[in-house]
Amino acid sequence: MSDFGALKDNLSTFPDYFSAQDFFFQNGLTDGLPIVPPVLELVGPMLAMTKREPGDVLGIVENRTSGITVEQAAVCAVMAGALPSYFPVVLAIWEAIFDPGFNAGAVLGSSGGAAVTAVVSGQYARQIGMNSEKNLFGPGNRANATIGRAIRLGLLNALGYRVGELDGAAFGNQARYTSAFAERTPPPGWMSLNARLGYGADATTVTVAPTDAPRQMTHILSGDAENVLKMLTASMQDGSHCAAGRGTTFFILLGPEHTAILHEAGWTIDAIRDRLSESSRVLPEFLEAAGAPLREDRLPVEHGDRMELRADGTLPTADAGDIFVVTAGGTGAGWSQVLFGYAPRAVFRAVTREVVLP
Amino acid sequence: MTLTVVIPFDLHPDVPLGGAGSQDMRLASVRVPKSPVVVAFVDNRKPKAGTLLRAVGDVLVEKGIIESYFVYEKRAMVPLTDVECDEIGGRANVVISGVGDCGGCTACSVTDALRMLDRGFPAFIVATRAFETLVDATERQYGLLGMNRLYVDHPVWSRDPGWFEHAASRLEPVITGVVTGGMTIAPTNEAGEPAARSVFDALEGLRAILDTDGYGLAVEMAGDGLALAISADPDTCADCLAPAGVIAGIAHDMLGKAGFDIPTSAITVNLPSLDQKLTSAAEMDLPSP
Repeated sequence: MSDFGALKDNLSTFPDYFSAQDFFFQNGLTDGLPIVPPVLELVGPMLAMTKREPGDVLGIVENRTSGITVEQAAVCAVMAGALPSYFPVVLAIWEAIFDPGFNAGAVLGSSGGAAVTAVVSGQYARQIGMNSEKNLFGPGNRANATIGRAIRLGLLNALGYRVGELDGAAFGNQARYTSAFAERTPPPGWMSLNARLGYGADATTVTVAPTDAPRQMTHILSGDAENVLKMLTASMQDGSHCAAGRGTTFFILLGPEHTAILHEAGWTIDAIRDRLSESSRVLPEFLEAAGAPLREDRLPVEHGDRMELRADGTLPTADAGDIFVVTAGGTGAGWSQVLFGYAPRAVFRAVTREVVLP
Repeated sequence: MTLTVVIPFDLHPDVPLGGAGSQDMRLASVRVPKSPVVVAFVDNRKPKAGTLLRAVGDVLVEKGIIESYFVYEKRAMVPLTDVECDEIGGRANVVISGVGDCGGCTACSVTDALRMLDRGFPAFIVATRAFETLVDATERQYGLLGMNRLYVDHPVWSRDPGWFEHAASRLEPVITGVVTGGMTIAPTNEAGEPAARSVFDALEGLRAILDTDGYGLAVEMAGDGLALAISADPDTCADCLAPAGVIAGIAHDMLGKAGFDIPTSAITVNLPSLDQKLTSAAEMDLPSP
């Protein structure tokens, strides 16, 4: 980055801190929480974390004229409370969002109210202090909280995803404030997500998908791997969600206890994915019991995706390739979490980008 | 202590964040559909969308407004591909896309309509009123003016058959206005309210003024501007028509009040081919405001 000259074209001066906060609120520039005023002294170091110029456009939403510049992304990161060291992760998430496969133009403004969830895998996540363990979605970790918030503020302020403009969310959810976490180091023999996706040992990646808020899966009844897998299957088979019968992307966060049970029983992550893909298939009777019976006009196409009955009469909930299993979370009674892609798999796909360090 | 902050976002009150201002938007260059008119209904697969679109198509055919129609079933919540646009454009000369009754599907159906509009086809979006603001915002983000709106009550999927017939009969005049009226738009929708907020609607006032003196007005998009074609009956008052420059100025003002910043120089006014009127217009032509 050569200089901060362009920033000086966008400077505004306020009499004090409180009037600056009022300005951001009054102009709809916040997510409802106070922001860190993006003073030049904070924006400059953020921009120093990339070799890209402030005016560079990180991406344009397909079929739209609007995108976000490096400068705008940096200002939103400052407003979110992020440290400069987080900015390379923020930039990688933006690049994933602008991948056509993410289908930003459709998913970001959907009435389904998707959160933009980012799984960060690799050593840089640890280096900047991202939380992969206790309370990773909860309050208390600056990196997790502010990386996701930086994205949401960018969606609001640069891309126009706000109510009354492009955001059609009927309810929204808390994960729309921020939804980013790090992968916990997997046990010996299990590959981390970035390695499974083909990246080198030194690489750090973000895998980004539009999701619902996380759902907790409780299994404290036995140390049996088969029971853990059955309960994960039950979590995925939610007849009230569009995944059942059509398929979607899943982020499955295996807590330490469940990780240990499955690992010690000899399961690999690939085998877990295959198993869950198979066991989560549903019968038409399942959908009927959930109040979503198959009808002639919903088969074979529903919401643009094929509802293909296999020879055994079942329908998919997730292809194995759409199930992202990661180790995460802290020790407890026996918890894991499941994040559903917010829409059927025909609408979007999870996108991975490598974090580029300056 | 004063605080100086960086705010690299457009805060002009008339410019939505992330969207283009009207001054940044292009006007579509649209071909007036010629007979036989074939309408492509782009069905986004939302429940009952096809039912509504087919009902509209049936009314248009029954009334002899169009020759035929077909329904193109696309993937919901994914914009049309170039190949799909080519296929649709090869079979139809008017495109109607819908039904937008959620956030993502509305954004995609608007995008579909705009992509076909960008290729020169008169295009409509059918959406529920609950998503009017999203239709507008998506149009701004695409940056192209000229798409027509057809709004119905929300939601569509729970309606009984009679509702679709009723809705189709309400939407038909708007489409007919485009198909038969040289790109004019009938100004009512299902509720009798302004249906399509577009450059055409913005000029309804001018149309009314001209109509008082026996003149007709047809509006076409032409390249980066508008072409206003004024027609006259043989017995129309020859001295009642203002000069072309004045009419362009009036049109500019009306468009501006509706949010369309189209310079007077981009508005071409074609007067009736009556010798005295052409002479009069040429002699009295005034500088652009």
